[in-house]
Amino acid sequence: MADTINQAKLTISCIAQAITSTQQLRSTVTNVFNLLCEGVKPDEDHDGRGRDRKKFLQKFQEHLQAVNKDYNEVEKYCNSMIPTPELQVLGPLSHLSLDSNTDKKNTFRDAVQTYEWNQRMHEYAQIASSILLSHQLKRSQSSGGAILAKRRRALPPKFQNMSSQHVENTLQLLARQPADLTFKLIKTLGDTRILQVTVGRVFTVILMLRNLLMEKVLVKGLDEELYYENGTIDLFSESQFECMRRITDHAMTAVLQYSTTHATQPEIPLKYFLLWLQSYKNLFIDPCSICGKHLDGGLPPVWRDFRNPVACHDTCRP
Amino acid sequence: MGVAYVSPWKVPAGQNVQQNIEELHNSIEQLGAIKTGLFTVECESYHAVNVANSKTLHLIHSTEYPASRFACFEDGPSIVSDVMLPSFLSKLRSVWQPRKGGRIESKGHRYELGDFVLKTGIISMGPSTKGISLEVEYTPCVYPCDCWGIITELLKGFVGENMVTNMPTLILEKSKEIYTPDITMQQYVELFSNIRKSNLVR
Repeated sequence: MADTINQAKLTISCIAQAITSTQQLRSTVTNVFNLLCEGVKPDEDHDGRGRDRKKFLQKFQEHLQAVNKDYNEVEKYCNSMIPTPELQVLGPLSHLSLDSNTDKKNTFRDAVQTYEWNQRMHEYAQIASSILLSHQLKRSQSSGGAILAKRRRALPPKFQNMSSQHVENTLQLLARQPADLTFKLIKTLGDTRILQVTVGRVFTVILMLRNLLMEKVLVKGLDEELYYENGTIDLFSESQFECMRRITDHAMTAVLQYSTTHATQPEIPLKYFLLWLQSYKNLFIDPCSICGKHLDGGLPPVWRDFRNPVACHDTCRP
Repeated sequence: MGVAYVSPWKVPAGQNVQQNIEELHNSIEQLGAIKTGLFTVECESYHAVNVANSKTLHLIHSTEYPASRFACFEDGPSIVSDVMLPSFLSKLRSVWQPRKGGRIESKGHRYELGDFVLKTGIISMGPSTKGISLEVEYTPCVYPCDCWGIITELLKGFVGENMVTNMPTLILEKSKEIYTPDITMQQYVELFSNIRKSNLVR
Protein backbone atom coordinates (compact mmCIF):
# COMPACT_ATOMS: atom_id res chain seq x y z
CA MET A 1 0.00 0.00 0.00
CA ALA A 2 2.84 2.39 0.98
CA ASP A 3 4.71 1.35 -2.14
CA THR A 4 1.82 2.25 -4.38
CA ILE A 5 1.43 5.64 -2.65
CA ASN A 6 5.16 6.40 -3.09
CA GLN A 7 4.99 5.24 -6.66
CA ALA A 8 2.00 7.46 -7.27
CA LYS A 9 3.81 10.45 -5.68
CA LEU A 10 6.87 9.85 -7.87
CA THR A 11 4.71 9.58 -10.95
CA ILE A 12 2.89 12.82 -10.11
CA SER A 13 6.16 14.72 -9.62
CA CYS A 14 7.50 13.25 -12.86
CA ILE A 15 4.40 14.38 -14.69
CA ALA A 16 4.68 17.91 -13.24
CA GLN A 17 8.30 18.19 -14.28
CA ALA A 18 7.50 16.77 -17.72
CA ILE A 19 4.77 19.40 -18.15
CA THR A 20 7.13 22.28 -17.27
CA SER A 21 9.85 20.97 -19.57
CA THR A 22 7.27 20.56 -22.36
CA GLN A 23 6.27 24.19 -21.88
CA GLN A 24 9.94 25.16 -22.08
CA LEU A 25 10.34 23.13 -25.25
CA ARG A 26 7.30 24.83 -26.72
CA SER A 27 8.73 28.27 -26.06
CA THR A 28 12.12 27.41 -27.63
CA VAL A 29 10.37 26.00 -30.71
CA THR A 30 8.29 29.20 -30.92
CA ASN A 31 11.56 31.18 -30.81
CA VAL A 32 12.88 29.18 -33.75
CA PHE A 33 9.78 29.93 -35.80
CA ASN A 34 9.86 33.61 -34.81
CA LEU A 35 13.47 33.80 -35.97
CA LEU A 36 12.56 32.17 -39.26
CA CYS A 37 9.66 34.58 -39.76
CA GLU A 38 11.31 37.85 -38.73
CA GLY A 39 14.85 37.13 -39.67
CA VAL A 40 17.87 39.02 -38.20
CA LYS A 41 18.13 42.81 -37.98
CA PRO A 42 20.86 43.98 -40.33
CA ASP A 43 23.92 45.60 -38.78
CA GLU A 44 24.48 49.36 -39.20
CA ASP A 45 27.56 48.91 -41.25
CA HIS A 46 26.45 47.22 -44.41
CA ASP A 47 29.52 45.08 -44.93
CA GLY A 48 27.81 42.69 -47.16
CA ARG A 49 25.27 39.95 -46.89
CA GLY A 50 27.83 37.38 -45.80
CA ARG A 51 27.99 38.70 -42.23
CA ASP A 52 24.16 38.81 -41.96
CA ARG A 53 23.94 35.24 -43.20
CA LYS A 54 26.53 34.10 -40.70
CA LYS A 55 24.73 35.88 -37.88
CA PHE A 56 21.43 34.35 -38.96
CA LEU A 57 22.87 30.84 -39.14
CA GLN A 58 24.53 31.28 -35.74
CA LYS A 59 21.29 32.32 -34.09
CA PHE A 60 19.41 29.52 -35.85
CA GLN A 61 21.95 26.99 -34.57
CA GLU A 62 21.68 28.31 -31.01
CA HIS A 63 17.89 28.04 -31.05
CA LEU A 64 17.96 24.51 -32.47
CA GLN A 65 20.45 23.44 -29.81
CA ALA A 66 18.13 24.83 -27.12
CA VAL A 67 15.23 22.87 -28.68
CA ASN A 68 17.32 19.70 -28.70
CA LYS A 69 18.24 20.15 -25.04
CA ASP A 70 14.64 20.74 -23.95
CA TYR A 71 13.43 17.79 -26.01
CA ASN A 72 15.97 15.49 -24.35
CA GLU A 73 14.75 16.66 -20.93
CA VAL A 74 11.13 15.88 -21.82
CA GLU A 75 12.13 12.45 -23.12
CA LYS A 76 14.06 11.79 -19.91
CA TYR A 77 11.01 12.59 -17.73
CA CYS A 78 8.70 10.50 -19.95
CA ASN A 79 10.98 7.47 -19.76
CA SER A 80 11.34 7.81 -15.99
CA MET A 81 7.56 7.47 -15.52
CA ILE A 82 6.41 3.95 -14.57
CA PRO A 83 3.25 2.84 -16.38
CA THR A 84 0.55 1.32 -14.15
CA PRO A 85 0.12 -2.25 -15.37
CA GLU A 86 -3.40 -3.01 -14.12
CA LEU A 87 -5.02 -0.25 -16.13
CA GLN A 88 -3.89 -1.80 -19.40
CA VAL A 89 -6.02 -4.90 -18.84
CA LEU A 90 -9.24 -2.89 -18.79
CA GLY A 91 -8.65 -1.99 -22.41
CA PRO A 92 -10.65 0.92 -23.81
CA LEU A 93 -12.33 1.37 -20.41
CA SER A 94 -9.03 2.63 -18.99
CA HIS A 95 -9.41 5.78 -21.08
CA LEU A 96 -12.25 6.72 -18.74
CA SER A 97 -9.57 7.64 -16.23
CA LEU A 98 -8.73 10.59 -18.44
CA ASP A 99 -12.22 11.98 -17.91
CA SER A 100 -12.01 15.32 -16.14
CA ASN A 101 -15.56 15.19 -14.78
CA THR A 102 -14.61 12.93 -11.87
CA ASP A 103 -17.04 14.63 -9.53
CA LYS A 104 -20.12 13.74 -11.51
CA LYS A 105 -19.82 9.96 -11.88
CA ASN A 106 -17.51 7.32 -10.46
CA THR A 107 -17.71 5.14 -13.55
CA PHE A 108 -14.00 4.47 -13.79
CA ARG A 109 -13.59 3.71 -10.12
CA ASP A 110 -16.59 1.38 -10.21
CA ALA A 111 -15.21 -0.33 -13.32
CA VAL A 112 -11.84 -0.95 -11.64
CA GLN A 113 -13.51 -2.30 -8.51
CA THR A 114 -15.77 -4.55 -10.56
CA TYR A 115 -12.80 -5.87 -12.49
CA GLU A 116 -10.83 -6.63 -9.30
CA TRP A 117 -13.89 -8.35 -7.79
CA ASN A 118 -14.30 -10.41 -10.93
CA GLN A 119 -10.63 -11.47 -10.84
CA ARG A 120 -10.91 -12.52 -7.21
CA MET A 121 -14.08 -14.50 -7.98
CA HIS A 122 -12.29 -16.37 -10.77
CA GLU A 123 -9.43 -17.23 -8.44
CA TYR A 124 -11.76 -18.50 -5.71
CA ALA A 125 -13.79 -20.50 -8.26
CA GLN A 126 -10.64 -22.15 -9.56
CA ILE A 127 -9.48 -23.04 -6.05
CA ALA A 128 -12.94 -24.33 -5.12
CA SER A 129 -13.24 -26.48 -8.24
CA SER A 130 -9.83 -28.05 -7.65
CA ILE A 131 -10.78 -28.90 -4.06
CA LEU A 132 -14.19 -30.30 -5.04
CA LEU A 133 -12.79 -32.45 -7.83
CA SER A 134 -10.32 -34.01 -5.47
CA HIS A 135 -13.16 -35.21 -3.16
CA GLN A 136 -15.85 -37.03 -5.18
CA LEU A 137 -19.08 -37.21 -3.17
CA LYS A 138 -21.55 -40.01 -3.87
CA ARG A 139 -25.00 -39.12 -2.58
CA SER A 140 -27.02 -42.15 -3.69
CA GLN A 141 -26.41 -45.85 -3.21
CA SER A 142 -27.81 -46.90 -6.60
CA SER A 143 -25.54 -47.70 -9.46
CA GLY A 144 -26.92 -44.60 -11.13
CA GLY A 145 -28.22 -46.47 -14.16
CA ALA A 146 -31.17 -44.18 -14.65
CA ILE A 147 -29.03 -41.10 -14.31
CA LEU A 148 -26.45 -42.44 -16.73
CA ALA A 149 -29.16 -43.36 -19.18
CA LYS A 150 -30.55 -39.82 -18.91
CA ARG A 151 -27.10 -38.43 -19.59
CA ARG A 152 -26.58 -40.76 -22.49
CA ARG A 153 -29.91 -39.84 -24.12
CA ALA A 154 -28.96 -37.49 -26.88
CA LEU A 155 -30.59 -34.12 -27.28
CA PRO A 156 -32.93 -33.79 -30.24
CA PRO A 157 -30.94 -33.20 -33.38
CA LYS A 158 -30.60 -29.59 -34.45
CA PHE A 159 -31.12 -29.20 -38.14
CA GLN A 160 -29.13 -26.29 -39.38
CA ASN A 161 -27.59 -25.30 -42.67
CA MET A 162 -30.74 -25.86 -44.63
CA SER A 163 -30.86 -24.26 -48.02
CA SER A 164 -33.58 -21.72 -48.68
CA GLN A 165 -34.79 -23.72 -51.66
CA HIS A 166 -35.23 -26.84 -49.52
CA VAL A 167 -37.29 -24.86 -46.99
CA GLU A 168 -39.47 -23.37 -49.74
CA ASN A 169 -40.11 -26.80 -51.27
CA THR A 170 -40.98 -28.31 -47.90
CA LEU A 171 -43.41 -25.49 -47.11
CA GLN A 172 -45.11 -25.86 -50.47
CA LEU A 173 -45.49 -29.61 -49.92
CA LEU A 174 -46.95 -29.04 -46.47
CA ALA A 175 -49.32 -26.40 -47.81
CA ARG A 176 -50.80 -28.90 -50.20
CA GLN A 177 -51.53 -31.63 -47.71
CA PRO A 178 -54.15 -30.66 -45.10
CA ALA A 179 -57.44 -29.66 -46.61
CA ASP A 180 -58.72 -27.42 -43.80
CA LEU A 181 -55.68 -25.16 -43.60
CA THR A 182 -54.92 -22.31 -45.97
CA PHE A 183 -51.39 -20.93 -46.10
CA LYS A 184 -50.15 -17.49 -47.00
CA LEU A 185 -46.49 -16.44 -46.87
CA ILE A 186 -46.50 -12.88 -45.56
CA LYS A 187 -42.84 -12.04 -45.24
CA THR A 188 -39.44 -13.59 -45.96
CA LEU A 189 -36.24 -12.13 -44.54
CA GLY A 190 -33.27 -14.44 -44.99
CA ASP A 191 -33.99 -17.56 -42.94
CA THR A 192 -37.02 -16.08 -41.19
CA ARG A 193 -40.48 -16.57 -42.65
CA ILE A 194 -43.84 -15.36 -41.40
CA LEU A 195 -46.77 -17.54 -42.38
CA GLN A 196 -50.46 -16.83 -42.01
CA VAL A 197 -52.38 -20.08 -41.58
CA THR A 198 -56.20 -19.99 -41.53
CA VAL A 199 -57.78 -22.98 -39.80
CA GLY A 200 -61.19 -23.74 -41.29
CA ARG A 201 -63.74 -21.09 -40.25
CA VAL A 202 -62.34 -20.75 -36.78
CA PHE A 203 -59.18 -18.68 -36.44
CA THR A 204 -56.02 -17.37 -38.08
CA VAL A 205 -52.55 -18.29 -36.89
CA ILE A 206 -49.44 -16.15 -37.41
CA LEU A 207 -46.48 -18.52 -37.43
CA MET A 208 -42.88 -17.32 -37.37
CA LEU A 209 -40.36 -19.81 -38.75
CA ARG A 210 -36.59 -19.81 -38.81
CA ASN A 211 -35.72 -22.32 -41.56
CA LEU A 212 -38.18 -25.02 -40.47
CA LEU A 213 -37.99 -24.29 -36.73
CA MET A 214 -41.12 -22.77 -35.21
CA GLU A 215 -40.30 -19.74 -33.12
CA LYS A 216 -43.53 -17.92 -32.38
CA VAL A 217 -47.21 -18.62 -32.72
CA LEU A 218 -50.06 -16.11 -32.39
CA VAL A 219 -53.70 -17.13 -32.71
CA LYS A 220 -56.30 -14.49 -33.58
CA GLY A 221 -59.96 -14.40 -34.56
CA LEU A 222 -60.99 -14.29 -38.22
CA ASP A 223 -62.22 -10.69 -38.04
CA GLU A 224 -59.27 -9.29 -36.06
CA GLU A 225 -56.69 -6.89 -37.45
CA LEU A 226 -53.36 -8.58 -38.24
CA TYR A 227 -51.52 -5.53 -39.55
CA TYR A 228 -50.54 -2.15 -38.19
CA GLU A 229 -51.75 1.00 -39.92
CA ASN A 230 -48.51 1.26 -41.88
CA GLY A 231 -48.98 -2.21 -43.36
CA THR A 232 -46.46 -4.18 -41.27
CA ILE A 233 -47.58 -7.41 -39.64
CA ASP A 234 -48.43 -7.14 -35.96
CA LEU A 235 -46.60 -9.97 -34.18
CA PHE A 236 -47.13 -8.90 -30.60
CA SER A 237 -50.70 -7.74 -29.87
CA GLU A 238 -52.69 -10.47 -28.16
CA SER A 239 -56.12 -11.43 -29.41
CA GLN A 240 -59.08 -9.58 -27.89
CA PHE A 241 -60.90 -12.91 -27.40
CA GLU A 242 -60.17 -14.99 -24.34
CA CYS A 243 -60.55 -18.33 -26.11
CA MET A 244 -57.97 -17.30 -28.74
CA ARG A 245 -55.53 -16.22 -26.01
CA ARG A 246 -55.88 -19.63 -24.37
CA ILE A 247 -55.34 -21.37 -27.70
CA THR A 248 -52.19 -19.24 -28.26
CA ASP A 249 -50.79 -20.53 -24.95
CA HIS A 250 -51.62 -24.12 -25.87
CA ALA A 251 -50.09 -23.61 -29.32
CA MET A 252 -46.79 -22.41 -27.82
CA THR A 253 -46.80 -25.48 -25.57
CA ALA A 254 -47.42 -27.64 -28.65
CA VAL A 255 -44.51 -25.99 -30.47
CA LEU A 256 -42.18 -26.84 -27.55
CA GLN A 257 -43.59 -30.36 -27.30
CA TYR A 258 -43.16 -31.19 -30.97
CA SER A 259 -39.79 -29.42 -31.31
CA THR A 260 -38.21 -31.53 -28.58
CA THR A 261 -39.32 -34.89 -29.97
CA HIS A 262 -36.77 -36.92 -31.86
CA ALA A 263 -37.25 -36.32 -35.55
CA THR A 264 -35.40 -37.92 -38.37
CA GLN A 265 -36.36 -35.14 -40.71
CA PRO A 266 -36.48 -31.42 -40.01
CA GLU A 267 -40.06 -30.88 -41.21
CA ILE A 268 -41.64 -33.42 -38.85
CA PRO A 269 -42.22 -31.07 -35.85
CA LEU A 270 -43.91 -28.55 -38.18
CA LYS A 271 -46.02 -31.29 -39.76
CA TYR A 272 -47.21 -32.58 -36.37
CA PHE A 273 -47.98 -29.02 -35.27
CA LEU A 274 -50.09 -28.37 -38.36
CA LEU A 275 -51.99 -31.62 -37.82
CA TRP A 276 -52.63 -30.56 -34.22
CA LEU A 277 -53.88 -27.16 -35.43
CA GLN A 278 -56.21 -28.87 -37.84
CA SER A 279 -57.96 -30.55 -34.89
CA TYR A 280 -59.39 -27.11 -34.00
CA LYS A 281 -61.46 -26.83 -37.17
CA ASN A 282 -64.69 -27.63 -35.25
CA LEU A 283 -63.84 -25.56 -32.19
CA PHE A 284 -67.31 -23.99 -31.93
CA ILE A 285 -69.28 -27.03 -33.16
CA ASP A 286 -67.92 -29.95 -31.14
CA PRO A 287 -68.80 -30.24 -27.46
CA CYS A 288 -66.26 -31.41 -24.90
CA SER A 289 -65.57 -35.14 -25.19
CA ILE A 290 -65.44 -35.51 -21.38
CA CYS A 291 -68.39 -33.50 -20.04
CA GLY A 292 -70.46 -33.25 -23.23
CA LYS A 293 -71.07 -29.50 -22.95
CA HIS A 294 -70.01 -26.70 -25.23
CA LEU A 295 -69.18 -24.13 -22.59
CA ASP A 296 -67.10 -24.17 -19.44
CA GLY A 297 -66.79 -20.77 -17.79
CA GLY A 298 -67.82 -19.09 -21.04
CA LEU A 299 -65.11 -20.89 -23.06
CA PRO A 300 -65.48 -23.61 -25.71
CA PRO A 301 -63.29 -26.76 -25.54
CA VAL A 302 -59.90 -25.13 -26.22
CA TRP A 303 -57.58 -28.00 -25.18
CA ARG A 304 -56.32 -30.60 -27.65
CA ASP A 305 -54.05 -33.35 -26.42
CA PHE A 306 -50.74 -33.56 -28.26
CA ARG A 307 -50.90 -37.30 -28.94
CA ASN A 308 -54.62 -37.71 -29.51
CA PRO A 309 -56.20 -34.35 -30.33
CA VAL A 310 -59.80 -34.55 -29.10
CA ALA A 311 -61.92 -31.56 -28.09
CA CYS A 312 -61.67 -30.99 -24.35
CA HIS A 313 -62.20 -28.15 -21.89
CA ASP A 314 -59.16 -26.86 -20.01
CA THR A 315 -60.67 -27.96 -16.72
CA CYS A 316 -61.84 -31.35 -18.04
CA ARG A 317 -58.53 -32.57 -19.45
CA PRO A 318 -57.11 -35.72 -17.85
CA MET B 1 -67.96 -8.36 -33.81
CA GLY B 2 -69.48 -11.84 -33.74
CA VAL B 3 -72.83 -13.58 -34.05
CA ALA B 4 -75.77 -11.98 -32.18
CA TYR B 5 -79.19 -13.38 -31.37
CA VAL B 6 -81.99 -11.00 -30.39
CA SER B 7 -85.09 -12.33 -28.72
CA PRO B 8 -87.99 -10.97 -26.73
CA TRP B 9 -88.09 -11.88 -23.07
CA LYS B 10 -91.53 -13.09 -22.06
CA VAL B 11 -92.81 -11.26 -19.02
CA PRO B 12 -94.94 -13.68 -17.00
CA ALA B 13 -98.48 -12.57 -16.39
CA GLY B 14 -98.90 -10.71 -13.15
CA GLN B 15 -95.37 -9.38 -12.99
CA ASN B 16 -94.31 -5.95 -14.05
CA VAL B 17 -91.46 -5.24 -16.44
CA GLN B 18 -89.18 -3.62 -13.87
CA GLN B 19 -89.38 -6.59 -11.50
CA ASN B 20 -88.78 -9.03 -14.28
CA ILE B 21 -85.75 -7.28 -15.64
CA GLU B 22 -84.23 -7.18 -12.15
CA GLU B 23 -84.63 -10.96 -11.93
CA LEU B 24 -83.03 -11.33 -15.34
CA HIS B 25 -80.08 -9.18 -14.26
CA ASN B 26 -79.62 -11.31 -11.16
CA SER B 27 -79.55 -14.56 -13.14
CA ILE B 28 -77.03 -13.10 -15.58
CA GLU B 29 -74.82 -11.88 -12.75
CA GLN B 30 -74.99 -15.28 -11.10
CA LEU B 31 -73.38 -16.77 -14.22
CA GLY B 32 -70.40 -14.51 -13.59
CA ALA B 33 -71.11 -11.72 -16.07
CA ILE B 34 -69.72 -8.22 -15.42
CA LYS B 35 -71.72 -5.04 -16.06
CA THR B 36 -69.84 -2.93 -18.61
CA GLY B 37 -72.23 -0.07 -19.29
CA LEU B 38 -75.46 0.92 -20.97
CA PHE B 39 -76.76 0.47 -24.48
CA THR B 40 -79.56 1.92 -26.60
CA VAL B 41 -81.11 0.76 -29.86
CA GLU B 42 -83.47 3.34 -31.36
CA CYS B 43 -85.73 2.77 -34.32
CA GLU B 44 -87.41 5.54 -36.30
CA SER B 45 -89.87 4.61 -39.03
CA TYR B 46 -90.51 6.44 -42.28
CA HIS B 47 -93.15 5.95 -44.95
CA ALA B 48 -93.36 7.15 -48.53
CA VAL B 49 -95.60 10.15 -49.06
CA ASN B 50 -98.60 9.85 -51.39
CA VAL B 51 -97.99 6.15 -52.06
CA ALA B 52 -100.61 3.70 -50.90
CA ASN B 53 -99.42 0.66 -48.93
CA SER B 54 -95.85 1.77 -49.12
CA LYS B 55 -93.18 -0.21 -47.38
CA THR B 56 -91.94 1.22 -44.11
CA LEU B 57 -88.35 2.27 -43.92
CA HIS B 58 -86.77 1.78 -40.50
CA LEU B 59 -83.80 3.83 -39.46
CA ILE B 60 -81.82 2.25 -36.61
CA HIS B 61 -79.17 3.71 -34.39
CA SER B 62 -77.25 1.51 -31.93
CA THR B 63 -74.74 2.73 -29.35
CA GLU B 64 -72.70 -0.39 -30.15
CA TYR B 65 -71.93 1.10 -33.59
CA PRO B 66 -71.99 4.83 -32.88
CA ALA B 67 -70.62 6.00 -36.23
CA SER B 68 -73.16 4.02 -38.28
CA ARG B 69 -76.83 4.25 -39.11
CA PHE B 70 -78.74 1.26 -40.45
CA ALA B 71 -81.66 1.66 -42.82
CA CYS B 72 -83.77 -1.37 -43.66
CA PHE B 73 -87.14 -2.41 -44.95
CA GLU B 74 -89.05 -5.08 -43.09
CA ASP B 75 -88.75 -7.66 -45.84
CA GLY B 76 -85.01 -7.57 -46.26
CA PRO B 77 -83.03 -4.95 -48.18
CA SER B 78 -80.87 -2.82 -45.94
CA ILE B 79 -77.98 -0.41 -46.10
CA VAL B 80 -75.35 0.70 -43.63
CA SER B 81 -74.39 4.36 -43.74
CA ASP B 82 -72.80 7.02 -41.58
CA VAL B 83 -74.36 9.51 -39.14
CA MET B 84 -75.52 11.88 -41.88
CA LEU B 85 -78.37 9.61 -43.03
CA PRO B 86 -81.12 11.06 -40.78
CA SER B 87 -80.36 14.63 -41.89
CA PHE B 88 -80.29 13.39 -45.48
CA LEU B 89 -83.72 11.82 -45.03
CA SER B 90 -85.06 15.01 -43.47
CA LYS B 91 -84.08 16.82 -46.66
CA LEU B 92 -86.14 14.26 -48.59
CA ARG B 93 -89.25 15.26 -46.64
CA SER B 94 -91.26 15.38 -49.79
CA VAL B 95 -90.59 11.69 -50.47
CA TRP B 96 -90.07 10.11 -47.02
CA GLN B 97 -91.82 11.31 -43.90
CA PRO B 98 -91.39 10.07 -40.35
CA ARG B 99 -94.33 8.09 -39.14
CA LYS B 100 -96.18 9.53 -36.21
CA GLY B 101 -95.71 7.48 -33.08
CA GLY B 102 -93.27 5.33 -34.96
CA ARG B 103 -90.31 5.84 -32.61
CA ILE B 104 -89.47 2.79 -30.54
CA GLU B 105 -86.37 2.04 -28.54
CA SER B 106 -84.70 -0.57 -26.34
CA LYS B 107 -82.57 0.76 -23.52
CA GLY B 108 -80.72 -1.13 -20.83
CA HIS B 109 -77.58 -2.69 -19.46
CA ARG B 110 -74.66 -4.36 -21.17
CA TYR B 111 -72.86 -7.35 -19.65
CA GLU B 112 -69.70 -9.25 -20.60
CA LEU B 113 -69.09 -12.90 -19.76
CA GLY B 114 -65.78 -14.11 -21.22
CA ASP B 115 -66.24 -13.74 -24.97
CA PHE B 116 -70.02 -13.22 -24.69
CA VAL B 117 -71.79 -9.84 -24.71
CA LEU B 118 -75.28 -9.81 -23.18
CA LYS B 119 -77.68 -6.90 -23.48
CA THR B 120 -80.98 -6.64 -21.63
CA GLY B 121 -83.18 -3.72 -22.61
CA ILE B 122 -86.60 -2.32 -21.79
CA ILE B 123 -88.57 -1.69 -24.99
CA SER B 124 -90.58 1.51 -24.89
CA MET B 125 -92.69 3.52 -27.27
CA GLY B 126 -92.73 7.06 -26.01
CA PRO B 127 -93.52 6.97 -22.29
CA SER B 128 -95.05 3.49 -22.24
CA THR B 129 -93.10 0.30 -21.65
CA LYS B 130 -93.86 -2.53 -24.03
CA GLY B 131 -91.54 -5.39 -23.13
CA ILE B 132 -88.01 -6.68 -22.62
CA SER B 133 -85.41 -7.51 -25.26
CA LEU B 134 -82.45 -9.82 -24.78
CA GLU B 135 -79.43 -9.89 -27.08
CA VAL B 136 -76.69 -12.53 -26.80
CA GLU B 137 -73.56 -12.04 -28.90
CA TYR B 138 -70.71 -14.54 -29.19
CA THR B 139 -67.79 -12.45 -30.43
CA PRO B 140 -65.03 -14.87 -31.60
CA CYS B 141 -67.15 -16.70 -34.17
CA VAL B 142 -68.33 -15.09 -37.44
CA TYR B 143 -70.39 -17.96 -38.91
CA PRO B 144 -73.82 -18.37 -37.28
CA CYS B 145 -74.22 -22.06 -38.16
CA ASP B 146 -71.04 -22.92 -36.23
CA CYS B 147 -71.77 -21.24 -32.91
CA TRP B 148 -75.53 -21.72 -32.61
CA GLY B 149 -75.02 -24.59 -30.15
CA ILE B 150 -72.85 -22.41 -27.92
CA ILE B 151 -75.38 -19.55 -27.88
CA THR B 152 -78.32 -21.81 -27.03
CA GLU B 153 -76.33 -23.53 -24.29
CA LEU B 154 -75.62 -20.16 -22.66
CA LEU B 155 -79.27 -19.13 -22.91
CA LYS B 156 -80.37 -22.39 -21.32
CA GLY B 157 -78.05 -21.53 -18.45
CA PHE B 158 -80.26 -18.67 -17.27
CA VAL B 159 -83.52 -19.08 -19.18
CA GLY B 160 -84.00 -22.76 -18.51
CA GLU B 161 -84.60 -25.80 -20.63
CA ASN B 162 -87.76 -24.29 -22.19
CA MET B 163 -85.58 -22.11 -24.35
CA VAL B 164 -86.47 -22.09 -28.03
CA THR B 165 -83.55 -23.63 -29.91
CA ASN B 166 -84.54 -23.05 -33.51
CA MET B 167 -82.48 -20.57 -35.38
CA PRO B 168 -84.56 -17.54 -36.42
CA THR B 169 -85.25 -17.22 -40.14
CA LEU B 170 -83.19 -14.07 -40.49
CA ILE B 171 -80.06 -15.80 -39.27
CA LEU B 172 -80.91 -19.12 -40.94
CA GLU B 173 -80.95 -17.54 -44.37
CA LYS B 174 -77.38 -16.36 -43.99
CA SER B 175 -76.09 -18.93 -41.53
CA LYS B 176 -73.25 -20.08 -43.76
CA GLU B 177 -72.07 -16.56 -44.57
CA ILE B 178 -70.07 -14.18 -42.46
CA TYR B 179 -72.34 -12.47 -39.93
CA THR B 180 -72.71 -8.70 -40.23
CA PRO B 181 -74.17 -6.12 -37.78
CA ASP B 182 -77.08 -5.27 -40.08
CA ILE B 183 -78.52 -8.75 -39.46
CA THR B 184 -78.66 -7.82 -35.74
CA MET B 185 -80.51 -4.60 -36.63
CA GLN B 186 -82.94 -6.53 -38.81
CA GLN B 187 -83.66 -8.79 -35.85
CA TYR B 188 -84.44 -5.69 -33.77
CA VAL B 189 -86.72 -4.37 -36.55
CA GLU B 190 -88.61 -7.66 -36.56
CA LEU B 191 -88.91 -7.57 -32.77
CA PHE B 192 -90.16 -3.97 -32.76
CA SER B 193 -92.64 -4.70 -35.58
CA ASN B 194 -94.09 -7.64 -33.65
CA ILE B 195 -94.50 -5.39 -30.61
CA ARG B 196 -96.27 -2.74 -32.69
CA LYS B 197 -98.58 -5.36 -34.16
CA SER B 198 -99.42 -6.78 -30.75
CA ASN B 199 -100.02 -3.21 -29.56
CA LEU B 200 -102.46 -2.58 -32.40
CA VAL B 201 -104.32 -5.83 -31.70
CA ARG B 202 -104.89 -4.72 -28.13
